[in-house]
Amino acid sequence: MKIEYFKASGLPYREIVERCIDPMRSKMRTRTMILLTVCALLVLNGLWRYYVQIRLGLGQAGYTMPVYWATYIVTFVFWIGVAHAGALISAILRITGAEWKSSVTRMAEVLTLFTLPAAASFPLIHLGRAGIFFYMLPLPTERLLWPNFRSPLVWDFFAISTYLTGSVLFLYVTMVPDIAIIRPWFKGWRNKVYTILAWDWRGTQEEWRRMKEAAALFSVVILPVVISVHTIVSWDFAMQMVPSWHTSVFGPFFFVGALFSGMAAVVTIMALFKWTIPAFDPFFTKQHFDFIGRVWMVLGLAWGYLYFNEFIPEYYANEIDKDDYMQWMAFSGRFGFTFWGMIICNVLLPFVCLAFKEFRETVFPMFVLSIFVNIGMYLERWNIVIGGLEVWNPLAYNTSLYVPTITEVSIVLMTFGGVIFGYTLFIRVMPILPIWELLETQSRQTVKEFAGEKVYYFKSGE
Amino acid sequence: MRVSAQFDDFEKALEAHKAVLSEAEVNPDNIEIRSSWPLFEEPLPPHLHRPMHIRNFVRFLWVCGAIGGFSLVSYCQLDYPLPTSGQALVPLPIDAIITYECAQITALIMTATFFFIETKMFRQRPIPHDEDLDVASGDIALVIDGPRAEAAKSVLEKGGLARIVRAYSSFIIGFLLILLLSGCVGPNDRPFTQTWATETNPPALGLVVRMRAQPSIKDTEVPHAPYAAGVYSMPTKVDPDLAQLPEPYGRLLTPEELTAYKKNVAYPRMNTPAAVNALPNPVPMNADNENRAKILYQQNCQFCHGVTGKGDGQVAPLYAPAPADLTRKDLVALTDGQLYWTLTLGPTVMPPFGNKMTAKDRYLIVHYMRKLQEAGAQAAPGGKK
Repeated sequence: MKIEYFKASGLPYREIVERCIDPMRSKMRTRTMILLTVCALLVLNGLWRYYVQIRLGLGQAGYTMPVYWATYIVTFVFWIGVAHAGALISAILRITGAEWKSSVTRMAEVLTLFTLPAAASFPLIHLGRAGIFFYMLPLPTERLLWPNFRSPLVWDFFAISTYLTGSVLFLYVTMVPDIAIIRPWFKGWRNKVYTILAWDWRGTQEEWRRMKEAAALFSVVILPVVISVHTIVSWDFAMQMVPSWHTSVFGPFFFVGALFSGMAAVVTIMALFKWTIPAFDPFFTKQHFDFIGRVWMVLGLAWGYLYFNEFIPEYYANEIDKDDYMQWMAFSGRFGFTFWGMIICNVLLPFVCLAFKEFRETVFPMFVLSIFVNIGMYLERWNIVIGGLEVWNPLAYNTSLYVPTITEVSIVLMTFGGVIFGYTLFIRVMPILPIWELLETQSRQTVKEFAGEKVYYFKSGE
Repeated sequence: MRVSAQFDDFEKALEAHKAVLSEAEVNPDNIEIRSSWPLFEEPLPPHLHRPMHIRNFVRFLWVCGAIGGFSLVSYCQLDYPLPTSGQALVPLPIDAIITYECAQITALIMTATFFFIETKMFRQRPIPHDEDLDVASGDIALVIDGPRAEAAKSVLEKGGLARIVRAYSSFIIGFLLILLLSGCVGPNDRPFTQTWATETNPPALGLVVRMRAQPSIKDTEVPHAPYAAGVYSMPTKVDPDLAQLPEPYGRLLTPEELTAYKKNVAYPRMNTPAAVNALPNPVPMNADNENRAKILYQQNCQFCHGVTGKGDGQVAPLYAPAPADLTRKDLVALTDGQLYWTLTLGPTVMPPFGNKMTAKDRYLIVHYMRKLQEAGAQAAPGGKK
């Protein structure tokens, strides 16, 4: 078997820096402006709908009697899943020392930065009295009332706030040297802002030692936080007395699903960068897509296994409720489309496609597949939340079926618009590629010839 | 005098560094290597090198965070032992979750904090930002402090404490600012210093927020039945039953009016206007009113004054002048008008209700107080407490 060596870009240092700051220096193109306008309109529309919902009450959302958790919660879990890409790529790849990480770490962290607030907003939108959400904080009151620590919602609150704090700090700390690097390239107000944000970074070796130490600490500390976040989100469901939810495998199942969809989101952005920002081309090579495709495929297989594992014990234990649920989902017609869509998008397509190196190395099919996987993951949450509630229908008066209203759709689109808006603007004010990590990778790449063959390797650490 | 040189190649920088060390005999502590990416420690000749404490700090504070989280949950548990049908309020696994998250968030914040503190502390030479231009395009720079080395070193060792204070000062100021903002600014009805003066058992973390200061009716809340009239909009019409009262005692008072009255009258209960004092209760008592009076009492009075009016409500222990026993002899002796006046403007600690309830409702409460006093007198013959 032929060993494959990761090849760094091989560009001169100055050119790497110039390419990284290219989108910050170039003028905004018309298509970007159109995109930003559309996203802004989506956000405004969603805010208006949310205002109407606050005025008129939760009846604006299409809740029916058995389905009291609906599109908002589906989208909440979806965004939480996408947000997991940041910590996964930064932390796991940092710890394992994968050299190809340097192109994708920052953009994955920034994805977390924007998707996690989008996710965190949904439980609040879903509240009937959004004005008193702070009752979840364990703050002392005059009447000595504390939040219900037995509720998974409170654990959610703790976990998400920890993750948000941690990922923002992680992003900022590793961005400080980059801000110092880009500072002299700009004049005027930008220079002033970067000077403040760069925290007087000089690039001495004393500082770099601490940077590496801090990055390692962050990676180690944030990994269990990531796992706890999505496990706790899954407990929101698993702790309920709903037959299709009440299962102990939900923790790892949700976690793997989150990583799977987060990877897909990263692949989407990689492809978009390669196409829309020509300066970034050398940093997203075939090898990057190949390597990320391998990780992605393993996660997809794990997700497929866990999904079927959820049904196998119940099948052998002859659990009638779960059996009903399965039949309802797969063969009822009401959920047939979403169920089989999920199976095709999340299990069959990734398994068939990602097994081939030629597929993994080609950008366009990878892009299409990443979109399909995220659609499949949305359908999965739809099946779990809405399918799980609709099938649990033992009482005669629980007869109505759930249909999302225009309010819910608008608010969901608002978060999509907000995330894209924020991300697009972020690229124009901050380096979306980690300059110092790319320089480091480049500096450590060494080429030697053994038996007439070129061998690329990296000098190991200290 | 400071010498700085920049190289576009790592090998050249290495050679120059070695030459400076061997030929010029510069103290390695005065040599600083700058680069846009972390260089390997191994091939570098000796240069400025300081001990690194960040990992130990974070380890220690992780434990502190865990203890803090555990204490928080335990405190909530001990603070108000709810009847939970035999179960502990917070079971151990949940305690573990909260403890764990608190430890992690402490570790994350502390990693960032100490990263900034340490990098700032070991940045010794103040250099204008323009010199950083060199490494911005991927070069390596050597900065050497030759003749001034000894002087700079002695200054640094002498001013150890001052240096730490300088490095921490922005954090200390920021922390104080956060405390100040969270404690002093916000919907607060009392001055900062007066907050705990009347409470024997102030809650922990009390600086952060005081929920008593929040408006009692939330933005999306439908008003309770007894509140339906007169709470949302200020009534301008005088209640026909109360038309005989001198203005403005027969209607809902505005907060400004209340403040003005309280400022002018030192101890309101003693200064009841004669017109109000002599007036019998103008609101008739019937079955409907009685029910409403009971609900009003439960919603507004019971948590301090207790179900029977003995001043033994659930939050009564919090207040240093304890809530009054409504069945006390001297309170029985007061006229209806005096009681009305007292609960309108508020005695010493009790807040005024003149802006919270209509005049009619206040008179209904007086009715209910009379009822409680009768019940108290029957329970303890001879008019004792």
